[in-house]
Amino acid sequence: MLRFFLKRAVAIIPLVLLVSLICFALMQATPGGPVGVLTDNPMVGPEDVARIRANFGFDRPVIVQYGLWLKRVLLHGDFGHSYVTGEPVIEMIWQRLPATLELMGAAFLLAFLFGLSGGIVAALKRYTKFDSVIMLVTLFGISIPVFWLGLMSMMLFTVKWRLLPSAGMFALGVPFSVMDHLRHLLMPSLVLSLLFIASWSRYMRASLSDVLSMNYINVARAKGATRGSVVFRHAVRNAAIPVLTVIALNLPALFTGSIITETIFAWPGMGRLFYDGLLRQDYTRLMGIIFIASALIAVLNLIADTIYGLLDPRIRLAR
Amino acid sequence: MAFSTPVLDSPAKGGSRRAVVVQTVHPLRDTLRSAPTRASRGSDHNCFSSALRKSPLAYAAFIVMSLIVLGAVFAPLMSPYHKDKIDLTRQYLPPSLDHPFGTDDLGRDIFVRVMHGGRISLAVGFLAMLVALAIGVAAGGLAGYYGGWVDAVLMRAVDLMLAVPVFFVILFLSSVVSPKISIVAVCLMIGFTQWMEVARLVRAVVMTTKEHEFVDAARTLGLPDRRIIVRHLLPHTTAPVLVAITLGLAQAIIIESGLSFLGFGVQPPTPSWGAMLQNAQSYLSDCPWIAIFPGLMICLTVVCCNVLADFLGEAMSPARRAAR
Repeated sequence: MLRFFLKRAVAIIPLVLLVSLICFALMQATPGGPVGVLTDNPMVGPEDVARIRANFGFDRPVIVQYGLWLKRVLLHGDFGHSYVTGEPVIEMIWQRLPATLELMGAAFLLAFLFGLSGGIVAALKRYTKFDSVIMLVTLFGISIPVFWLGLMSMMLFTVKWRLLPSAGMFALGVPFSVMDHLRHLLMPSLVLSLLFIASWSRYMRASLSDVLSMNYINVARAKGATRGSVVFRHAVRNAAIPVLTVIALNLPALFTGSIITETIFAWPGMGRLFYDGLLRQDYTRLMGIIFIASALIAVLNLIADTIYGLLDPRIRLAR
Repeated sequence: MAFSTPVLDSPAKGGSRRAVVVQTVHPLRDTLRSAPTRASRGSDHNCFSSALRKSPLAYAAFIVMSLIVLGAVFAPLMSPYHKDKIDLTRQYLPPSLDHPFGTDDLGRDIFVRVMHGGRISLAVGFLAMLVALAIGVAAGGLAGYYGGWVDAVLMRAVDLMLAVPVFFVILFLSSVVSPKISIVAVCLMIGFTQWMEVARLVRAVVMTTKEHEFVDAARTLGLPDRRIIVRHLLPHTTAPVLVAITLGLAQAIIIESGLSFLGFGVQPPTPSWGAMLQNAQSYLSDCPWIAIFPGLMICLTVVCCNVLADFLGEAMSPARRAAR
């Protein structure tokens, strides 16, 4: 198992390198290159630009620059300074990361619990009214764009029924309380998770239905295993494997959803930071966030792979 | 058997030597002819319409989707108002007979804008899917047919694209290009991030199909690789690819609307469903119709695509067809 894990861990290194190469190429592609913003400033003459370029090493060959940039990023976590605020990018991200992880974690948890249990129940009651209702609800769940869902729930729960706050992580001017924080978290995390609840339960239903029609399930039943044991010990364990693939593939979508959700609900996380950076064309910040997000996805994929190996001995023994 | 007849009557005309040639060539052609693509082409169509009638949900989706497309096509004929006509005496009107979907902050008729928005959103979706289809089929076809390092390189590219939060990259690129981002650029960017699913499917089908005898036959006939891939292998990918691009169309529409909603896709005053929602958040409490209708259209379209994709997948899976 350890060998399998290490193999997978080593495999993400070229992936992260490639992502960094893309980030760096994007940075070079910005208008005017890395000093593009300065050339717009009337107080900065061409000779100043040349001096700044020399100072930062931008006059050296691109490949050398890439090497230096990568060294700074990997060894010191240094993504440079924000064009707009002058703060180190890594510190900006570091401040916002916990809020994003909290939101995505909550959404993931909701999606995992409701998605998988919904799928299991639907598969066990296949072709009943209950199943059709779940399938219809999840059909809409996978079809509603997250920003519209956000707007609609804000319209109903905040504007109309005045049940939940529409923005931020805490109520202003009130001492911190866990309840208040959870109230702020509830709507964004539900909005972010609905797509995943719906899609994972559909996959779980399909996968579990397939598994339940297999011979070894009949054998387990014939041996006299209880219904619960057949479903949870024999079937769900195998049915979860393809669903896990889908979950791992959905990780980038979770980040995408978080940009939009955080923007709508003014959640002070990395997505919001990214959106602000877009509006102000703060390219160093954007690059830093893309890199960190990709690295996070790579690590989460590694975890998914590991669980994959734990669930399915064929995978961990084959390679 | 097709190849036995020429052998019987050839000695009378051209002697045994020619008969041998005929005999060796014909089984090959025969195999080529019996390749499943040719044989099943005619019956697929009938299957489709009869299967559609048997599935009420898919039938409904088909009709609604047709209505949305028709509405988009005939948008200018549907209402006396112009899509960009600003009328400050008619701001914030709730839905009424005059304005079925109400009017927005500049007094523009939302119904007309939603219909026109359908043109943009559907066109962006279709074009983006065409881009994705072209890239995906090319990458998948090459990877599946040649294998080896071609396959390795292309599949690593797929893995990479699947592991990067591509929406961030699209947003970044649009912010580099903005504010003058063109609709074609939006289509291209979405297409470049949606081809992986198609590539994987095509690769898988090509890899299994190329082991069949008729491909050996085509090679023996000396057909160039390009022709073998395009004419003999790619047709087999039609069914799964059709499903994938129907789902992909839905995805592309959602991505476009998300980009435009954030202000980095289709630019105002051009109405796309997402762009119409851009300022809607400010008017949620007083004029919710500004936010409701464009989003409803996105949902309807995407639901229809998803239902049709499910339906196509079931209608075209060989197991199902055999069982019928």
